Amino acid sequence: MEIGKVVKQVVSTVKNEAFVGRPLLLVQPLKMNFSHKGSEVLCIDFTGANIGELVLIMKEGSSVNDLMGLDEAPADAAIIAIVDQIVLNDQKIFEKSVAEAV
Amino acid sequence: MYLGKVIGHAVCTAKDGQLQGLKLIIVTKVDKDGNSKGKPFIACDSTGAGAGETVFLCGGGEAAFPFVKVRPPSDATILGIIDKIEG
Repeated sequence: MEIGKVVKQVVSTVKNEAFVGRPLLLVQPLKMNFSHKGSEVLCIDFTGANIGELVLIMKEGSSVNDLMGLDEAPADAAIIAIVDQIVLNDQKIFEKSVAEAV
Repeated sequence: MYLGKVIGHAVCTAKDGQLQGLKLIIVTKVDKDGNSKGKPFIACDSTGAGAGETVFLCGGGEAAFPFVKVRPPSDATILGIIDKIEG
């Protein structure tokens, strides 16, 4: 898994039926120093994340299928958590503020 | 998954049997603002997307799953047509 920032919300009507009712968010993967890491990833959101939030993304097809409860869904990326805090080498490098959470 | 833009299509007669009847679309990846980036590549289409449309695609082994009757040897398949990108 890796961390990323939600940058856009994507709306699609004509789509594979496995995606019906599932929110799609575009996420920019980030390094641990919060610089950009590669290009944006389109993820199915399982958390209710909003634009601007730091999230945990998982890019493994069969695990996404497990989350969706389907055997053969053509999906390979999902948001699986919203990050509250990151501690790296005993240093708190990210804390979601209380104000941000409300 | 990732965003892309349809810029053309390819027609092939001699091909794997599982590709029979599928449309082969030429796509470039696009960034969050809709600007094309990287080199064009070929994707299978499961949506009926046309030239100029912004779409989303799946890579990897799951790219074979959208089709009901076949499991094409695909590493990129168009899954949906994008209406709008917000935020």
